Amino acid sequence: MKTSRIVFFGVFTTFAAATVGLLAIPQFQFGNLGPVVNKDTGDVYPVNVGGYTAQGRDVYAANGCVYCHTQVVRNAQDGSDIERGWGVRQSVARDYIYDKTVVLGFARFGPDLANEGAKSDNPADAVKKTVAWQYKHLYAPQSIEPHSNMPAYRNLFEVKKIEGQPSPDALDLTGADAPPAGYEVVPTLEARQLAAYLLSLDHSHTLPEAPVTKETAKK
Amino acid sequence: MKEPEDLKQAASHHEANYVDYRETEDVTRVHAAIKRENRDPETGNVPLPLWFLAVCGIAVAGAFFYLGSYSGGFSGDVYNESAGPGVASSAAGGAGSGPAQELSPVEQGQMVFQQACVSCHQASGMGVPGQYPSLVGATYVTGGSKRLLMILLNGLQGHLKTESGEYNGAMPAQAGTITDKKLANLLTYIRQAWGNKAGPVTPEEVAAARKEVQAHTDPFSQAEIEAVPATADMGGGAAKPAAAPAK
Amino acid sequence: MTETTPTIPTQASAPSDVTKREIGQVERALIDASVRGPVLFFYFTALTWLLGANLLGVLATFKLLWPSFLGDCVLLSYGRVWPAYMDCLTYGWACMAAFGTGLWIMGRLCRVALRKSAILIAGAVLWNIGVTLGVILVLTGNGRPAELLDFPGSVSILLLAGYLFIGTWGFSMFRLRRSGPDYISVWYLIGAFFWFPWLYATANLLLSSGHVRGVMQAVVGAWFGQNLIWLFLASIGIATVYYIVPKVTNKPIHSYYMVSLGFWSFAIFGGWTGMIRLVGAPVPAWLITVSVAAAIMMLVPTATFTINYAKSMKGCSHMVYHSPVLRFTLFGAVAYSISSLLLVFFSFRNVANYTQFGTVLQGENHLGIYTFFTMVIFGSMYYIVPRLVGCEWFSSSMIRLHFWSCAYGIGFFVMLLLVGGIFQGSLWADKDVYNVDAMQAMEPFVIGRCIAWVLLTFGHIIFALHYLLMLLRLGRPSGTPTLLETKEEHA
Repeated sequence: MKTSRIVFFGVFTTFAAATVGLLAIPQFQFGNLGPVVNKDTGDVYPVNVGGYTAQGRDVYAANGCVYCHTQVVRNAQDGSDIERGWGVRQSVARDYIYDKTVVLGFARFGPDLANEGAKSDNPADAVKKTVAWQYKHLYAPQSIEPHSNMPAYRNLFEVKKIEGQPSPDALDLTGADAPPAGYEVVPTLEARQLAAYLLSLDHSHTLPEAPVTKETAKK
Repeated sequence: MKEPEDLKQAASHHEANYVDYRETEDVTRVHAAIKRENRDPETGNVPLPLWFLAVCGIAVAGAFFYLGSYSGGFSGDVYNESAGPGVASSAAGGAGSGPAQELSPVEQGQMVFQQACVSCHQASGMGVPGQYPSLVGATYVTGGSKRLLMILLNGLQGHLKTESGEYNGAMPAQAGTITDKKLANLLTYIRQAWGNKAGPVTPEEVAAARKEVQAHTDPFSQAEIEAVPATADMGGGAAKPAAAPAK
Repeated sequence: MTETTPTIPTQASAPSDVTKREIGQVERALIDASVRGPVLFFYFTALTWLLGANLLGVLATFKLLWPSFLGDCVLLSYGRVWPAYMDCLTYGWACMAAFGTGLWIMGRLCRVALRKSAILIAGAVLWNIGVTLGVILVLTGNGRPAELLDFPGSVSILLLAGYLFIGTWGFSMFRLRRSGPDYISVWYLIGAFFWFPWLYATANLLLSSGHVRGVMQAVVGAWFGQNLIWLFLASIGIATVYYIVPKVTNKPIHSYYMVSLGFWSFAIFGGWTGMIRLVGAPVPAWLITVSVAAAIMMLVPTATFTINYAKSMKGCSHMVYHSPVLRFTLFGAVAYSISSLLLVFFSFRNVANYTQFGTVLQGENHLGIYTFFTMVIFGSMYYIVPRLVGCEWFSSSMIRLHFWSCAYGIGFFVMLLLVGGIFQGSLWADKDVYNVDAMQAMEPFVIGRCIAWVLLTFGHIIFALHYLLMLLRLGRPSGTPTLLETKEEHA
C-alpha cells in the first residue's frame, strides 16, 4: 500500500507546484498592476472608463467576437502585427487592467481590434474611426467588404418605420441591405454600446515596459 | 450427477455470501466474453536502458537551456523573450514618460480628455442620450472659441438643447482645476476629433477668456451662451478660426 | 456504497474443485454487473452528445464558409456555435465517456464491486443537466469568452456536483481495493480523478469571483484549457491504453521502471504546459518560456509511453488486422506520441510567430480530444460493451466502416487545421497581404473540413446505431468476439 500513498502525495504536490508556478506567481507579479501616472503632464494610462465602454465589452463578449478577432498586438519580432498597422507597439498586461472580462481572443479570421479606436495616419483605417462605419459594418459586413466571412449582426439593430424625420443614427444602406421604402435601420442600445467600446480601443499610449519608439511608430 | 442429499444440501445454502459454482452453463452463455479474457495486465522488470536515460537527460538539459535563454530574467516587465532584463529599464524614461519625443497639442489634449471628460462624454465623444450632450459635430464645439471657453471655464447648467437632444444636467466648471495650456490642448483636441473640423485654441486665448469670465461666479445658462455670437473667437491668440463648422 | 459485496469469492470460500481461473471470471462478472447500468448510461449520453457536437461542428464550419447559411440569426452565428460545439465535444462526449471507461477500468483493477450504483446515475444526470443548460446559455450569448470555460459559474456548480458522485465512487473503489501492487493505470486514473475537480473548481472560482483581473484571466483560461485536455483526458487515455493493449495481446508492460519514470515525469511537468497557448500574448516572456520548456520535457513521458506500448505489441502486430479494440486503441496511442512532438514544434516562437492565431490551436485541441482520446475510448467501448450487455457486436462491417470513416475523417480534419494554420500564418506574416485575401485563400481548407465532417458524421451515426443495437441486446450471441477479419482470412 505504500506506493499508493506516494502516488497520492505526488499527484497532489506536482499539481500544486504547477498551480503556484503558473497562477500564483504571475498573479503576484502582474496581477495587480496599476495605471502609469506621468507627474509632469498629469497624464494617466490606462483610464478606467465605465459607461458604454464597459457595457460594450459585455456585448462584444456575448456575441462571440473573440472567436474571430483578437485584441493583442504582438512584438515586432513575434509577428507582423505592427508592420501591418494594427498597432504602434506591442500590447502588454497593463493595457487590460480595467477590463472586467478580458477579451484577448483566440483566433484571427478578421483583423486585430486592439487599436480600433486609435488615431491612424493610414486613410484606409481612418474611415473606420466613425460610429457610422462601425454600425454599417456590424449590420452588413459584406456591403463594406464583399468577400468578408463576418456574420451580419442584425440582432443589434432594428428596422422601424420612419416617423416624421429620419433618425440621425439611421444607417446609410444601399442595395439588398437597404430596408424597404419608408423604413430605416437604427442601432439598438447594444449596438451603441458596442460601437462606443470598439472606438475606445486604443493601445497606442507609450508605457515604460513597451515604449512607442520611432521605429515602432514608423508605419 | 451428485446424490440427492448433496443437491439438497447445496440448495439449502441460502446465506447471503453463497455463490453457486455449479451453474457453469449460465456463466458460459452470458459471460463468454469474460471467460475468454486474458489475465489482468502485469508489468515486467526490465531496467531502464542507459541510452534512454541519456536521451531523456538531453531533453531535460535542452529544456532548461531554453528556459535560461528566453526568460528575460523572470521579470514582470520583459515582454520580449530575446531581451534581457536590462533593456526594459533603460528604455524607461522618468515615471512613465516614455521617450523624449514631445507630444503634440492634440495628443496632450487627448490625454486630458481621457482623464477628465471621458466618463461623461465617452471616448467616442457621443455622450449619453438624455444625460450628456454629444460633442460630435456640436456647434458649441466647432464654432467660435468664446462660447466654448465660457462653457469650460465656468460650467453650464439648466435646460440645454443641442443638436443631439435636450438635457437638464450640469457641466462642472473647470477653471479652478486646469491650467491654460492643458485647457487649450483639450479644446484643440475636441475641435478636431470624431470628424470635427475646427481650428486650435491657444493658451493665450484661454488666459484672455479667464479674465473675462472671472467676475461671473455661477455657471452659465444656455441663454447666456446664446447671447454671445456663434462665431466669436477670443482675441489675444494667433490662431485663426477654421471655416464652417463640421457637418 | 462503501461496503464491498461480500459475494466476491476467494480461494478460501470456494469449494476445492473450482479453479482460481473460474474465481477470477466470477469476480469479473460481479464487478461488471455492479457498474453495468451506469457505464452503459454514461456511454449512451456520451454518444448523444457526440452526435450533437457533430451537428454543431458541421454548422460552425459551414458558417465560416457561408455566413448567411440558415439566415442571420445570431444564435447560429459562428461565434456562438463554435464554443457550443467545443463544449458538447469536451464536456458532453469526452468527459462522460472518460468517466464510463475510467470507472470500469478502476473497478476491474481494484477488483471491487460496490453497491448502490444508482449514485453514479444521479451524478451523470446532474452532469448532463449542467451541460445542457450550459450549451443553451452559450448559444444565447450568456457564456464567458473563455475557451472551454464558457459555462457561467452557476452551471459549473452543477457539473461539480455531478462529478462529486462520480469521483467519490472512483476513490472509494481505490480505498477498498484488494491488496497487491497497483497497476500503472490505477495511478493515472487516481491522478485524473483528483486533478479534474481541482482544475475545474479553481478555474471557475477565479473567473467568477472577479478577483482575477486583466490578462490573468487569459492565463487562467490557458492553464485550464491545456490541462483539461492534456492532463485530465490524456491521463484517462493513457490509463486505458496501458490496460487494453497488454490485456488484449497478453504481453506484460515492458518495464516497471519506465512506467514509473513516465508517470512521475507526466505528473511533474504536465501541469506546466498551459502557456504554450499564449505565445505572443501580453504576458511577461518568462511565463511562456516556462511552458515551452515544460512541453519539451513532456517528451520524456511520451517516449516512455511509446516504448511501453510498442514493446507490448512486439510480435503481435498482426492482431491489429482483426481486433477492432486494438486497432482503435493503437491509432489513438500513436496519435498521442505524434501530438506531443507537434505541441513542442508549434510552441517554439519561430513557428508560433506564424501560426499563433490561426487554426493550429484548434488542430492541437482536436489532436488531443479526438485523434488520441476519442479513438482510444472507441477502442475501450468495443472491449467493454460486450462484457456489460452479454452479447457481441452485431456486424464487423459496421465496425470497419466506423473505423475507416473516423480515422480518415479526423486525420483529414486535423491535417487541414494544422497545415491550413501554417499557410494562413505565412500569408499574414506578409504585411502586404490584406486580411480579407488571406481569409479567402483559406477557403479550400474550410471546404476540405466540411468534407471531413461528412466522413465523421457517417462514422458517428454508424457507431451510435451499433451501440443502440447492443443496448437492445440485438448483437451476436456470445461466443467468439466480432473481429474485423478472421485469422484465416489474413494470411
